[in-house]
Amino acid sequence: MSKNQKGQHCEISYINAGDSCVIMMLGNEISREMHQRVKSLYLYLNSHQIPGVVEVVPAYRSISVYYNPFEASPNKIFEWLQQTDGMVLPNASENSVRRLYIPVCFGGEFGPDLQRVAEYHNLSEKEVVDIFQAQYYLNYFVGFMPGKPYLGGLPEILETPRLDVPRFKLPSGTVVIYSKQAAIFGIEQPSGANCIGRSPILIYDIRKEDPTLFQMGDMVRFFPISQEEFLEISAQVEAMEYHVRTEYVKER
Amino acid sequence: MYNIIVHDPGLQSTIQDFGRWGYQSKGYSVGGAMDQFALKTANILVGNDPGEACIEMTLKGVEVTFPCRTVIAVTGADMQPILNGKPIEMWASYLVKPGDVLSLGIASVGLRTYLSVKGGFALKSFLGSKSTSLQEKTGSNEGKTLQKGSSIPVSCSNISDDYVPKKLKADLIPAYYYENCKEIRVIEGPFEDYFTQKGIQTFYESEYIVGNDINRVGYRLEGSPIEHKKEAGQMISLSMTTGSIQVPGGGLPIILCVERRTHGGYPVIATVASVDMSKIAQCRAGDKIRFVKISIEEAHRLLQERESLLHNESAMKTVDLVEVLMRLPDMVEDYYIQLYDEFF
Repeated sequence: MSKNQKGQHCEISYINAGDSCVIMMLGNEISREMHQRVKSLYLYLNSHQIPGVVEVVPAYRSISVYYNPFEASPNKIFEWLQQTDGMVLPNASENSVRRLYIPVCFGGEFGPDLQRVAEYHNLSEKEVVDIFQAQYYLNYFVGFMPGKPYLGGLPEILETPRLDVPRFKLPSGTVVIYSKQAAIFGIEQPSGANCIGRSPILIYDIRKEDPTLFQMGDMVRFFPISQEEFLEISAQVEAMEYHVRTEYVKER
Repeated sequence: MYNIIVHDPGLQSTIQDFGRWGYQSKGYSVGGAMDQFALKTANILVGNDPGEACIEMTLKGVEVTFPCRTVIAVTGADMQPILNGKPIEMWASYLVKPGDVLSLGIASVGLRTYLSVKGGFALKSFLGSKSTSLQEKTGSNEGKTLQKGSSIPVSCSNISDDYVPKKLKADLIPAYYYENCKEIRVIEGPFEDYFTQKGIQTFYESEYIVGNDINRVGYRLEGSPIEHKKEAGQMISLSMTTGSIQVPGGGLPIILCVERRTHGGYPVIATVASVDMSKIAQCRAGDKIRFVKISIEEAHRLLQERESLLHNESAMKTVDLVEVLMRLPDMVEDYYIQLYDEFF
């Protein structure tokens, strides 16, 4: 395996993914600590012009570094990246954290799987919603589809397996839970995740100069709305007059 | 502003350039031309930057009218291009006049064909690229394929009458027909350790057939299933690359192409060398492929070699005057009529 294992003091390993990408592996788990490490390193790499590097893309415990093979070799990239070895990077968690509050109409036609989730856990639908909306979810990174957050931190009591037969089309705004995760869709897509509600907001709005809402490290909280409120907010979103409630807090 | 008018949009024709780099961390697919060698060559032939946007056509090409004097080239799979009723060559540039009609047919071998126009298309970029993303509904033509009646603005420059057409040297034109099996060169990993020795052997020793489920997102292959290591467990999602060969639980590989999603969670047994992604782009359902492992150094060497051949002075043959006369009788005729008119 073309792997370039590094010293003990920093457990980052480097793996070639083809001839134009190097993956930096920071560990093997999904955790908030790992997220902070990935974010700090990602912000550092992203703020530097690394010769030959086209793009740097984070995930749970890895950062993919895409390079132009006409301009750089993996050895040159390794060399540059290894400078970050042992470097004290500004801790991303010292910046203020953005909290976003997302309105969701749970159950009914907007959340056809809410009942299934409730039955699976022997809870009432209201109890599921109460548990789901009582906390913040960490957006580990954005990816897969434009603006789609990877939300972690679903309470264990709500962990539900995927559907046996995926739904063919789920509209944008759909809020789903699967294994330990939650997500909201920006584009209509098929999915086998449990659909528990729908938000009237657009997390990917191509009319906006920057169409995507979420950023890596956002704390996301969902709050229940009625069908009437759903329609009201939808109209405001349509008119580009709805603003997602946003707070900036210092987190320790 | 001049517009190219689309009379027949073909089967799936979109505007593509080198793709939308720099936005995967926001979830945007890179996209861009499937066969970047053909795109590059089409642009070089007409004197554009190599990454200028072209029309990418799939299986069946377009019929268009040009609004002004300009230079065009058609590269990739041979769709038997016809200009004003006369066959023209692939991998060569041609001067066209206002009202000239280019019609492309069905590719006999290969799958994708590129039409370049000198000066490129006067289209707005979205996040640094003119590429159409069909899934994200963004980029040129509002994220849709070209339709009957679509118009594509072009920036027409003055082409002098002594313009000398160019064509790619015959030995640089890729062959899209393989009697037996296409060899696709790959670099191992990055997640070979998720597979058993037997699984890895299956991957390199069997022939795979390109399935019916092929598009700009990925190619599903049919053939012998690849065995995963049971103890390896699930992979944690991470960012993928174009050419990643994913192997889901069922064991049949999927080659990720340019319009792939940014992140994925299936282990990647090997990655197609960039130089061979053009071969993948031209594969059709039913084609047979076999994977051959090469080193990353070899992959870079092959890529650089092809690139330097393309940019070499001798890569583009200029077409001599006699050939010009033979290839473009209409143009010459018009030219003399024009002279005649001016003279009298």
